[in-house]
Parts: sequence; structure tokens; C-alpha cells
Amino acid sequence: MQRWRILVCDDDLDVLTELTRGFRAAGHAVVTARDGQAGLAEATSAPPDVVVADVIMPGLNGFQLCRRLKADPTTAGAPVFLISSKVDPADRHWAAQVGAAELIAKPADADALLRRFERALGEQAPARRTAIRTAVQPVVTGDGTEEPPR
Amino acid sequence: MTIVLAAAGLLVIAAAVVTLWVIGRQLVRRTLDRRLLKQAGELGTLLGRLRGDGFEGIDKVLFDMRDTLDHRVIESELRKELDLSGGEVPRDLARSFHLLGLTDRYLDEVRGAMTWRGRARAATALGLLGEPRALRPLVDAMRDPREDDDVKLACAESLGRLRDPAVIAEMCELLGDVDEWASPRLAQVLVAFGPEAVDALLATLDAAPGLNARVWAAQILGRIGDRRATWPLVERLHDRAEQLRMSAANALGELHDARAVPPLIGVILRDPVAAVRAQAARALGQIGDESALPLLVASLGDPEYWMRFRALEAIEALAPSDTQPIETALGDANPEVRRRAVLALERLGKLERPFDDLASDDEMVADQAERRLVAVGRAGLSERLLRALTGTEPRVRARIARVLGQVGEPRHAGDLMALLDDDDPEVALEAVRALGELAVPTTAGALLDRVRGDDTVRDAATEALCRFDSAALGGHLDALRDLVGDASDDVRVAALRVLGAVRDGAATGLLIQALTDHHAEARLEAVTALGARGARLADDVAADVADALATCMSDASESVRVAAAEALGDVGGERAVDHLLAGLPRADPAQRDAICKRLAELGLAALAPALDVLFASPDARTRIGITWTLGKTGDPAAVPLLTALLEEPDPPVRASAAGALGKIPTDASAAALALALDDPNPFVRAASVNGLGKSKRPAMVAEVRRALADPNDFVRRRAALAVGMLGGDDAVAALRAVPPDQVDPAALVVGLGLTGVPQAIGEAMRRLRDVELRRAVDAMLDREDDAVRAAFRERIRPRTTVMMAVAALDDLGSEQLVAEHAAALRGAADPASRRHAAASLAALDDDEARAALAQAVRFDPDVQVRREAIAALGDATTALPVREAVMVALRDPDPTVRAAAMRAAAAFVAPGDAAVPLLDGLRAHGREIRDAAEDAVARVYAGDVEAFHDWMMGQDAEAVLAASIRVIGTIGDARSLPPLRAQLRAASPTLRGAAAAALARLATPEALRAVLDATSDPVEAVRVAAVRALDGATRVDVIEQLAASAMDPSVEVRCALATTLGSLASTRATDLLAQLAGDASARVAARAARALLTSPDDEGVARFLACHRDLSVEARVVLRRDAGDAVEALGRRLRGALDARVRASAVAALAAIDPLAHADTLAAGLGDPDPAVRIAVIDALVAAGVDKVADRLRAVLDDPVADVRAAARRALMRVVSEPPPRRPARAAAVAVAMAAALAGARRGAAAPTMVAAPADDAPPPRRPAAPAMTAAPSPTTSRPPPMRRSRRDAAARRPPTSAPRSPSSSAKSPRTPTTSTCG
Repeated sequence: MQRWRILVCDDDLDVLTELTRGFRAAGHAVVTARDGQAGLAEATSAPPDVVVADVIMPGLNGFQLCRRLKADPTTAGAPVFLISSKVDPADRHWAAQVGAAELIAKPADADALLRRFERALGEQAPARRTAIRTAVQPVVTGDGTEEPPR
Repeated sequence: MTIVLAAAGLLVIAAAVVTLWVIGRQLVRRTLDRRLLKQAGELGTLLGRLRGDGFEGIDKVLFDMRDTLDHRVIESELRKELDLSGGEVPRDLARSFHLLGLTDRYLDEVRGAMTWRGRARAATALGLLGEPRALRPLVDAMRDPREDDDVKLACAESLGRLRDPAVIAEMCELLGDVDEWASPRLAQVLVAFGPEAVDALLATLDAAPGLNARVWAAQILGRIGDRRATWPLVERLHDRAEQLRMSAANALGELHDARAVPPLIGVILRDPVAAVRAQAARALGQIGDESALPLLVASLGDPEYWMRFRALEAIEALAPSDTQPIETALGDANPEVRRRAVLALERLGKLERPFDDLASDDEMVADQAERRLVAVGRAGLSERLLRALTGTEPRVRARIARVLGQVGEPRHAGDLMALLDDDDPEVALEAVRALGELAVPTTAGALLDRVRGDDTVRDAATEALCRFDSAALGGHLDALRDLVGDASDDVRVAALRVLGAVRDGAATGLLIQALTDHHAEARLEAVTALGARGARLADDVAADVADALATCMSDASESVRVAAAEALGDVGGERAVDHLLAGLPRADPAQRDAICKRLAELGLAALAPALDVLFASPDARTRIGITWTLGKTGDPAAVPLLTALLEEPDPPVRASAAGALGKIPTDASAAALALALDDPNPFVRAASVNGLGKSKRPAMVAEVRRALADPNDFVRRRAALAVGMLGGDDAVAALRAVPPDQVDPAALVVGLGLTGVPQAIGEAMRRLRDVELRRAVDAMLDREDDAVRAAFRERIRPRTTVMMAVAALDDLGSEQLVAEHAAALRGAADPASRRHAAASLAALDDDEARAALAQAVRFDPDVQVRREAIAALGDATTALPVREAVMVALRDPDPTVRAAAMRAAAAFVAPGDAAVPLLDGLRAHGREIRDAAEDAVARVYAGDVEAFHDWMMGQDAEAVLAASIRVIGTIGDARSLPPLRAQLRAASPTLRGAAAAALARLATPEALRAVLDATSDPVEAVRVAAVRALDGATRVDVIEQLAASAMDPSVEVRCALATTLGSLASTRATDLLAQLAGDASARVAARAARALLTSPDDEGVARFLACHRDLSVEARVVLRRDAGDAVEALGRRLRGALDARVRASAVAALAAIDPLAHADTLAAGLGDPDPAVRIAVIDALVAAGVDKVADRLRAVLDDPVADVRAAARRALMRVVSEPPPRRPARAAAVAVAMAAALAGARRGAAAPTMVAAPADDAPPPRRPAAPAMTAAPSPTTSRPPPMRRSRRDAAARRPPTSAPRSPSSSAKSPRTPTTSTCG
């Protein structure tokens, strides 16, 4: 099974915890951030395979984060899944405008998200995924989590 | 007998026994005392020997002597040694007290002794012994409210000796008691504790419940000198209690901490109590920071002398190199301040210099030294001056004599008398002058002797004697008589001048005799002296004097003739007036001016009898003079006459009349001057403009501003100044609206400055940056009269009550003005002054101005000032301090300031993190801030709208989203189309409505289509918003699609449609509106009708008239109620449409809506160039029965078109009960006005008399007078001030040869005078 490096951005600690637990239980590596700016910094320093971000966040919101990730070549390849309690047609439209893979209504289930990741990442060229992996080799720490290379 | 003897014997025996007992007792006591004394002496000697060894072994000595010495002796001698020790008690001595049990006894006695003396002694002893167990009883004694003050004093001193830190807190508590004896001692004790006591004192300063304790704490902290107390004391500078503020200031001075300088400066600027300010000044001097020097110098102008006194102290402490401010204080009104200034100069070593400079060859240096010494002398140090009189060179003595004269101390008269015989004539001359300054009576004789001296001395002596009072000179009448009879002309002249100061009747007689002196100058002196007696003369004497002066009215010397006229005016009285009036016809021009001036001062009542004669004079100069004189009287009764004189054929007379009217500011004179603005002569117009400028009626700006476009340049310049003098916002608007090059730029600047409006002042300051313009303004002001010049210089400067070092505005240097306004903004105590300064600085592109405004935005405590300052900054935000201030202001507690800061921040904030405060404003509940935030965010993100889209889409609050949508609409970027279209599908109708409005602002075809789609939204509010959003869209297809909304079931939608269609200049839109005018809903119908009236399409009004008849009653009522903007639109058409049919239709429409309510708007059409329009207006007014415009209808009676006149007549007959009067001929009006003036004047006079008929050889008067006196008041005077005539009428008046209208039906009209018209 593939192990992905998943970046989860949400200012809601409960959602963050829930998703992180779910993703790690599935054997994936998870990096978390409590706001858009921190998420951007994390992604820039160690590009993830996939990003899950809340839309409504302090500082940079999910749309702004997504647009910036897509504008940076090192992070543009990772699909961005936005989650929000507000999923009006305008929001869906805008999610598409900023390059998000999907806009998903909250509450978001970790397993459901993983399936969507599978679909999205499965569509990507394997070479690119490999390129991403070889470019950044994670370091396994004692507790099993991965940390970005120094 | 035996019994008696026995009794006597017993008594004797008893007495003897008692005597023996007393004697024995005394002997025993003496023996005991001697014994005690001996013991005391022995012990004292012993202790004295032991003292040198530190009382080593004293316990053994006392133990050995315990059986031989009385315990009282031991205690007494030990106490002596204890007292002698002076606080440094040797250990062995102290221990001996303890061993003897004395310490324990004192501990008991300090609270238990029966007498206060015992308790006090015990307390003192315990303190000297340093007994720690004494702490509690001493404190208890201090706390006991019943304890004696002296005991408390002793306890306080002992506590200080004990130096136990445990007692500090308790002593601080005791500070709260108001005890004039103990409290200072406590304070001393706490001071002695030093830094140990600081914490407790700070706590007391901060939290003690009583003011007394906090005040003491502040003072003690100052004495201790620990700088931990600086900031707590600074905080107390703003305490409510002035005593605490004073103490805090005092303490800060003692701390010598330079950090306290700015807060102390703030106290001087803002504290309302002079004593506190004075203390702050003193503290600044103690601290010695030179940065406080300018403010201390400024404080020398404080209204409270005590503040000035302390300021001098502080300045002296700073020892400045420039002592000019201290020298200026030598002239202070308060003697204490003057003396302090002298002391300061003396201590600074600056007093010797002036004495040395008196001998300088440089006149300027010597003059300056003299001035200083005068101040020194007035400050009470004149003895130094007297000492300098001896042994110095003549030049110095002369100057000192001059100084003594100016010092003005009468006791120096003797010293000056001694100088009268000085060898040096210059010294003697100065002594004469100085004696004149002193005017001591005993010196008059000596001065009179010098009148026969040489010319210079005589002149000086005469001048000096003229300063003496009448009583002093009256005793020398004989000497004066001799002098008056002297052979020398000069001596007689001098004597007569002196005689003028003597009020004695004999002196008056001498002066009258001198009127026949052969020397003209002597006669002149006599005349002047007699006139100077003025109204103080008794009536009979005044008559004689007047008769005597009258003989001089025809003197050979012109000077004497003029002086005689002036003197007669000064003497006053009926006889004098008669002589003046009698002399007027024969007077030469100079004498005539003098006569007129004096008559003016006597008032219109005095002039009234002469008016006929005066105006009959063929000499235009006479008429001009008397016209001017009428103005000088300032009597409103002269206004009708002067108004009539505005019709004179002679332009100079009209100009004089206009100038005269300007001196009598009344409504009537202002109205007359307004009419005179159309005079054909430019000087008359200029005089009228000047007069209106002085009228103090700001409403006259509307009239005077016409003159800003006068064909004559001089008139335009005067108009600029006049508008400025009238002041107010209208004046500013009028001056700003002047096209470039139309009016002299210097006059515009002066006008702007005169308005006194801050924005105009700022504008003037900005223009004054131009050096050439500044010179031109200076030159212009030099030519203006004092009132205008002073008004300009005063109004252009900041209004402030703070005592600042504001230099006299010698020139109009813009930098100085800006600095003054900036200083006022920073330091004025009065918020109104600071607001004024902020508004004045608004127009300036100046770093100092912006820095001051930025500082005010950040720190000013008054919210109005901060509002003014942030508004003044506007978009001038390039400087870093300004930006910082704006960013701070974004968090101001006042919403108006925050809103203004947002708008200012938009000029420099970039999209991103820096824009967060602006984005936060979109969440604000307050409308003002939200609107400002929307404007600001739109500006910031105008270049990066997609970044804003991203932010917006990350918001979930509906209000924020709605505001964001509005922002997008404001930005108007076509790239916003997709997100807005997406918002049209939002769940929230609010968002859909906002999106519709925003899309309409994009104005692209796709956007408009989207909006049109929204007109079918299921929610009414969205449909209304969509329809309203299409306001102004002119596309035909849009209008067609809008037509569907005419069938909308919602009344609101249909109303919105009517409003929107009304904004479109389209035939189709007009058709739709006409259709809507037939709507079943009265609101819709009325709205559509109103929209037709306001439509840009001219056909709209016609369609309205067509469908108005079909409007329901309810619709008409609604229309009448809500027709405000429609009426304005119709009024504009009526006044400005080129097509007469359009104007006529506007009249019809107004009449259809409500002719009564809109009569004023209709009445404007009475001046329409088209007769049909005028008739239509008349008919409309008549139909409404409007009588309030009767006056305007009367004006139409002069209409050139007969039909119009007829219509006006008919209208008047229907609305007014009286037939319209005929206008009197112009010339007759003059006579009538004169008559009215005469009648008015005579009503005020006691016994009106006509001037005697002119001499037989005089030309006949041009106008008859007497019959008019009985005529009824003329229409000119009884009617309200004539309204402003139209330009058409003014043009008809201009040709001077226009024939007067012939009177008709005059016999029937009670108002028509029966006098014939003049030629």
C-alpha cells in the first residue's frame, strides 16, 4: 500500500485530530497546521503528496492557500482538497477557480477522503509521484512519524 | 478673763508648734536638698570622668554607690548624660539604665505616666536608648487620638532614632492624620529611613484612602531622592486633587530626573490651577533641563503672577545665555515679578553691563541700556541709579536723568532739581524733561523760570509744565500772567500753552485776552487751550468762550480758523453749534472739514437744522462733506437720506453716500448698498462693496459676490476683501469659485485670510508660500485701513489661549504661520483652538504641518481634534510618521477617526497582511466604519481583485460577504463577473441582491443579462435590488426587459421600476412610466408621476401633464407629499431651460402638484423673459390665492409687456385688498427722504430749530423743505428695504437721462407727496 505524506490544515483541533488519527491508522504520514500560513510554510519546506485544508481559517484561508500552493512548482503537483461547512455553488465554483481538486462538505470522513485521494493521485503520472518522493526523503523518527529531511 | 487668756495662750502655743514644724520641715528639706545636691555633684563629677572612657565600668561604680546615693540623683544624672550623648549613647551607659530598671520603667511610663511631661520624657529616653521594645508603645502613642501633641512629637523623634524598618508601614499609615506637629516629624523620620521607606511610601501614594497621606508621601519621596518614585509621581501629575499634583511636581523637581521633564511641560501647558503650573515650572528649573527653557520663557506671559514668578526662578536656575526674557519681565505689571527679575539678572551677573553701556558711543547700545535701567528702576533698584549720578561723565548723567524721569518716582525730584544747574546744558535739559515726567508740584516754579531760557530749554520746560495738573500750576498764576505779557512772542506762546493746563477761571480770562494777540501762534495756542477746556466749562462761561472763539472763525490765519472750528466743537453747547453752522457757508475747505467733523460728533440732531442749507450749496464738495459727515454720525436715522443720495446724478456724491452708508450697518443700509452694486460708476460700486463688507451681515455675501465678476478691476479687488470681511463658509466658497486671473491674487489671499474659516486660512497660507505673492499681499495690507490690516493679521493666526512664545507677526512668512499653527495644535490648552489649528493646516503640503497633524492623531486627548487632524491628513500619507499615525488611528476608540484612518490607509496599504485592519473593518457593526472599510478595501485591491476574491470566498459571515460583494462592485473589474454570477445563485437573498447590484456596476452585457435574470428572482428583495441596480442603464434591450417588471405582483418592485425608469432618458422609458402612472397602487402611480417629472427626457413633464388628470386622489396626495426632488427639478427647468415651452410646462406641473406650497419656486418665473411664462406663473399664483408674493407681483407692475402688467394687476386685485400704489418720482423721493430724516432727527432733538434763512445774496435752495415736514411717512421709509432688482431693471436705470415717471392719481393716494418734483 502506498504511504502518502498528507498535510492537514484546520484551525478546528477536533477536526484536525480526527483526520490525523484516521490517516495515520491507514498507515499514512501526517503533518498538521493550525492555519493557512503555517500550512503554506510546511508545504514549502517539505512538499506533501496531498493537502487537506479547511476553507475558513484565520490568516490565509483555504482558497488563498490553495492558489499559492498551485502557483509554486514544488507544491503544485499535490492535489488540494478543501473542506468547508459552506458549500454553495459559488464556493464550488471558486474552489475550481483556485485549482482545488474538490470542495467537500463538513463533516469530512477520513476514509472517504482517502478514497478521493486515491482517485486523484491515481490519475497523476507515476513518474511525477516518484519524482516527488525521491526529491524529498522522509526521515522516520522513533515514534513512527515521519519528519521532513533537514 | 481667765478663759480668754487661756485660749490665747493655747493659740500662741499652737502657732509656735506649727511654725516650728514648718521651719523644721524646711530645714529638713533643705538639708535633704543639700544632700541630694552634693550627691548629684559627686555623681556628676564621677560620670564626667567616665564619659571620656565611654562609661566603661559605670555599672560597678553605681553598684558600689547604690547605698549612698539617692535613686533620684542617679536617675537624674544618668538622664543628663543620656541627653548629652546626642543620640550616640555608649553601650555601657545604656546598659546601666537597663540594670537599674529605668528602661522598664520608661516602657511603662510612656503610656502610663500621669503627666504628659512624664510620658514625653519616657518616650525621649527610650529613643535615645534605642530600646527595641519601645517600638510598639511608641506607635500606640502616635496612633492614640487623645494623646498629647508634645508626647507624639517625642514619640516620632524616638521612632526615628530606633530606625526599625518594621515601623515604616505603620508610620506611613499615620501620615493620614492631619497633625501639624507630628506629621512633619513623621515625615522627617521617614526621610531619614531613606530608600528603605520608598516601597511603603509608593504604596501610600498609590492607595492611601486619604489625600493627606498621599500628599505627604509625595513630598517625602521627593526628599528621599530615590528615582523609583519618578513614574508614580508623574502619574500623580494628573490627579484630581491639586494639592497632590503640586506635591508631585515639587517632588519631581527634587528628584532631578530628566525623564519627568516632558510630563512637567504638559502640566504647564494644561493644568488649570496656577499654583500647580508654578510648581511644575519650579521643578523644571530644579531639574535643569534646557529643553524646558522655551516653555518657561513663554510662561512669563502667564496671567497669574505667581506662575511668572516661578518661571523666572526656573529660568534663572537654567542660567541661559540670552537673558532677554528676564529683562522683558522687568516691565511686568506685578512688582514682585519685577523684583524677582532684577534679582535674577543680578545673580546672573547681567546688571552691571547696562551701567557700563550708558557710556557707549553706540546710540543703540546706550538706548538699550537705558531701557533696561528704566525697568530696573521701576523694579525698585533706583538707588543704584542715583549712585551712578555722581562722578560720571555728563553724557551718562544726562542719560540717567532721563532714566529717572521714566522710572517716575517722585522722590527723585530733588536729585533732578539739583541737575537743573548742572554745568552741562544737556544734563540740565534732561533734568527739565525728567521733572516733567514726574510732575511734582514743588518743581513747577523752577520750570517756569526756565521758560525764559533758550529755545531748547524753553520748549522742554513748556512740555514739562504741560504735564502738571491744574492745581499745581494754579499757584503760579502771577508768574504765568507775567509770561503771557512778555515781549517775546515765543515766551508768550509757551506761557499760553502752559496756561491751557490751568483750569482756573482767571486763566480762562487770560486765554480769551490772548485771542487778540498780534502773533498768530499765540492766538492759535489760546484757541487750542480754550477748546481743550471742552465741555467742562459752565454754561455761561461756555457761551462766553464760544462767542470769543467765534471771532477767530474769520481769523487771518487758516490754522487759527480751523482750530477755532475745532475748539467750538469741543466746547459744544447751543451757542457753539450756532457759530459753527453760521460759519459753514463761508468756510474754506479745511475749515469746512473741521466744522463738519465736529458737527458729526455732535450728532444728527445737531445737523438737522442745517441739512437744507447744506444740500443747497452749489459746491459739490460741501455736499460730499456733509454726506460723509452724516455717515460719521453713525445714526440710523440718516440712512433714508443717504439712501436717497444714492440716486444723486453726481457720482462723487453717490460714492460718498455709499461710503457713509457703510459706516451705519443696518438692514436698510445694507439693502440700499446692494442696489448700488449696479451703479454705472465703478467708484460708487466700489464704495458700495466696501460698505457691504463692513455691514457684518454674512447674508450679504450673495450680493457682494456678484462684484467679483465686475468689469472693473478695482471693484473686483474690493469685492474680494469685502467677501472676506463678511466671513463664513459662503464667503469661502465664493472666493474659491473665482476663476484664475479674474481677481488680483493678493486680494484673494487677503480675502481668504479675513474669512477666519480654517480651511480658507490654510488655503491662504498655502498661497503665501509664493514669495512674490507674499510681497504683494504685504504691500496691499500697508495701503489698507487699520481695521482691515489688523483683522487679517489676527484671523490668519491660530486662535489659542496658551501662553506660547509667539512672536509678533511682522511679516507674513508662511513658515512662521505654519509653525504657529503647528505649535497651537500641539500645545493649546483649549480643544477648540487645536481643532482650528488642525483645520488650518489641512490645505498645506508641508512636513511640519503633517508632523503636527500626525502627532495629534496619535496623542490628542480630544476626539474632535483627532477627527479634524485625520481628516486634514487626507491622502497625504507618504511620510513615515503619518503612516504610523494612521495605523495607530485604525484602532482609535472613535469610529469616525477609525473610518477616516481607513480611507487614509488605503493610499499606502498593499494587498495582503498589511490590509488586515482594513479587511477587519468589513466586519464592523457600525455603518460608518463599514462604509469606510469598503471604500478603502476597494482602493487597495483595485489592482489585485483576484486576491480579494480569494479572501472573500474564505468568509462565512453573511454581512462580511455582502460587504465584500459591494467592494467588488466598487472595483468594477470585469474579472469579477464569474464570482458575482456565482453569488447570484447563493442561498442567501441578501447575497443575491448584493450580487445583482455589483453586477450592474460592471455594466458589461453579460453582467447586465445576469442582473436582468435576477429580476425574476423568487424573493422580492432580490428583484427590487436587481431593478434598482439597473438605474442609469440606457440600453434599449434592458429597458424592454425591464418592462416585464411592470407586471410584477410586488408594489415595491413596481415602485423600484418607476424610479429606475425615471433615470433613463428614453422615450420608451417615458412610455412605460406613463403606463405605470395608471397603476392601481397609489404609491406606484405617484412614483411614476414623480419619475416623469424628474426624467432627463424633456417629454417627461409633458407626459406628466397628460396623465396627471387621471391620477387618483390617493396618488395625488402621495405625489404632493413626496414631490421634493421633483419640485427641485421643475424649479431648475423653470430657471434654466432654453425652451420657453419647457419652462411653461414646468410652471404647469408645479401648479398641478401644489401651487400654494411651491409658490416661491413659481415666483421665480415672474422674471422669465417670455411673457407667456410670466402670465402662466401669475395665473398659477392667483389660482392658489397666494398673497404672500404680493410684493413680487407688485414688482411685475413695471413689466414692459402690457398683458403681463394687466395679469399682475388682476392678480393683485384678487389677492390683496389695497390697490397697487404708483411709484413716486425719483427726485421727489430725495426730498421726501430728507424730510423723513429731518423729522426723525427732530423727534430726537429737544427744540428743533430751523437754520436761519440763507442770506439774501445766497442762491435759492434747490429743493423746498418746510411743507414736507407735515407729509405722511414716505413709502421709501415705510416700506421694507427694496428688494434686489433684476439686471434687466438695472440696465434700464443706467442711462442718467431717463425721464422720471410722471405721478398720476396722486391726489387719491395718501402716500404721494404734494411737492413738485425737482429739476
